[in-house]
Amino acid sequence: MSSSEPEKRRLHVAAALVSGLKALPQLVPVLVVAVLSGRGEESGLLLAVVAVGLLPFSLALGVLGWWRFQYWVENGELRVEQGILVRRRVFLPRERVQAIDVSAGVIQRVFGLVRVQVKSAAAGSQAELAAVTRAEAERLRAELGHASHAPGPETQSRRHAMTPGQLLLAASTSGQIGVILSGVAWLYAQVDDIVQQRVVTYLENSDLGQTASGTDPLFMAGLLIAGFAVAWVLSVIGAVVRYGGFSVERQGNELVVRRGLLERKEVVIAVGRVQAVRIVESLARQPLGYAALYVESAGHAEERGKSTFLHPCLPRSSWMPLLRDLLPEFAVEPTLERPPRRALPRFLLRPVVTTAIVATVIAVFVPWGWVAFALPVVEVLTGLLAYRDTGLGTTSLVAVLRTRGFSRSTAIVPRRAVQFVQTSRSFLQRRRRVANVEVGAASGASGRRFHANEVDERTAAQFLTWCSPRTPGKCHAEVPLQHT
Amino acid sequence: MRPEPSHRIDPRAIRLWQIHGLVQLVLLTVMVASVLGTLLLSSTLPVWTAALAVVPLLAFGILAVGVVPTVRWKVWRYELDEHELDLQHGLWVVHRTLVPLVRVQHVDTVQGPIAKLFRLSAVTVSTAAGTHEIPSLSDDVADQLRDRISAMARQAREQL
Repeated sequence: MSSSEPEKRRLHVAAALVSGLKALPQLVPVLVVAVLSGRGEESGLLLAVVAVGLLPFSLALGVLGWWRFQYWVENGELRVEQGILVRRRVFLPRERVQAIDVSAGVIQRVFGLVRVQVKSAAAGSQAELAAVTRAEAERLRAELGHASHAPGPETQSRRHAMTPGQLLLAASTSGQIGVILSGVAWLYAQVDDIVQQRVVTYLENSDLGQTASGTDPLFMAGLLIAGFAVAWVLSVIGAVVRYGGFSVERQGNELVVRRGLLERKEVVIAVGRVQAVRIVESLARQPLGYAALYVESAGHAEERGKSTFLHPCLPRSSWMPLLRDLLPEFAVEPTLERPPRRALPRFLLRPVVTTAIVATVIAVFVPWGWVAFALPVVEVLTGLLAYRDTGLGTTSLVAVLRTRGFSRSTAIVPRRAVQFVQTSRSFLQRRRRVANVEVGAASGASGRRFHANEVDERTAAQFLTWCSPRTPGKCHAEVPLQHT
Repeated sequence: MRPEPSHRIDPRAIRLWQIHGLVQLVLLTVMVASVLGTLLLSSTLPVWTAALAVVPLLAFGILAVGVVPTVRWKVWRYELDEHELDLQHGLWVVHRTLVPLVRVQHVDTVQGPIAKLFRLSAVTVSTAAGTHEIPSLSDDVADQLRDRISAMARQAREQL
């Protein structure tokens, strides 16, 4: 609180532009479809005119919204008043503020500004300042007791960036292709008739047209492959835009993660609030020895249900050095105890039997349905992999739980972060003397659970004892670790 | 291996669960009857075939009223000490849960409409990673347990 009479502040005027142009990205596909399908037709043209005509209106609303948006800090509380007709007031006490995120979209970057999101643990209770200067963002952070980079330079870590090779690898294995593919399929469905008509007419007029036609399977296969290629290229571009310029470093007792080529995001996480680290090796990345690393932190997530990247794509040899540098508490590699051999049938039997039944049904009723018998074969492979990769291990302070669905996921959870621990044994598991282990840790609004299934029941029982606060040892120290 | 938790939940839980089972049985019977009714009206099957549906319904009834409540009560155990809450429950899958008291955010008692007739309450314990419930304790025991967990959680946090 700088003065007794706090002045109400307004955002930078560019905020009007930000909210005024918010609808623009959604307008683009409408325009594309309108132009493509409405060539020469009046309805398509009309749609385009209406869409463009809305723009000045939307900008005017943006200016009004900017005029009616005021914020200030009073009694250690961030107060925001907004709304053109319906006034909304948000009061966020500084002790409730979990995180202050700084990011910058394209418009903000043009003006050299940033967007500030002030988040609290309560769902939906947050304030967003669409465009303020960098200095103003720092001032706000200081006023709300989240001054970044406060401690001296001796706690500064090396800055870990991404090499262009890692970026390209991350982008090409980002797993976004499915999403994009459905997008391409949708777009194709929208313009199907025109494209087919034009392509076919074009081909018929060319030499190729003698052999290729719209129904030729070779031609269709080519089209399909082209579709995949387009989707893949788009997903690579999308991932490059998202991960580009990634860097992570430790400043004092905070982790600072930055990413984004066009829209810059900056996430600051207090090291003491970090509850777990996850190393996720997707099917495409594991053979190459790469993985994405995530941090789970209490009351903070970039987006709902998502964890923050500690690194989007890192080779195996660099995992522990990165953790030693940024979060030394988590840089452990205990030997993992694997499920006993008698647990192997449990990894195979149920998924294989259920998919076999499904495949039989499909094979009977659907032509070419026997292809579905690939499913149980895939299940045998994933079951074997899951058996091979599952593991549970502890050091005196940290537990490591590893599971595999399609990706291999290794969770590193310190004892201080264990919210609860559970073992469960079904009737059949009791007969085989194995048990499932589950650990709950705080993350975002609802927490996150980590598993290690089908481990020896004695291992599971020992793990309960390890987690128990009855067991002596430094188990619930909340003192942030000293950086070395 | 650690011994089972020492306390059982209230034996009237069995009666309560039996009532729940009975309600489910009635609902299921109504559903089956209406489906069978429409099927029989539109087919030439003799009416006595509907009696075949009684067998699975009876089996469900025996399980839901006769077996499950008793077994579930026998498995349910809890124990509270100065460090942690120790729970054991589950019918087919037996769960064993430890909740360190330092992690407890808040404790509530909850009571459903039928449970109210029996003067039974559940205690729910919330952590940052989820909620755990001890069902069907007598109102007095539930209130005491809630207050004890709350007080001990505060104490455990202060000792940090």
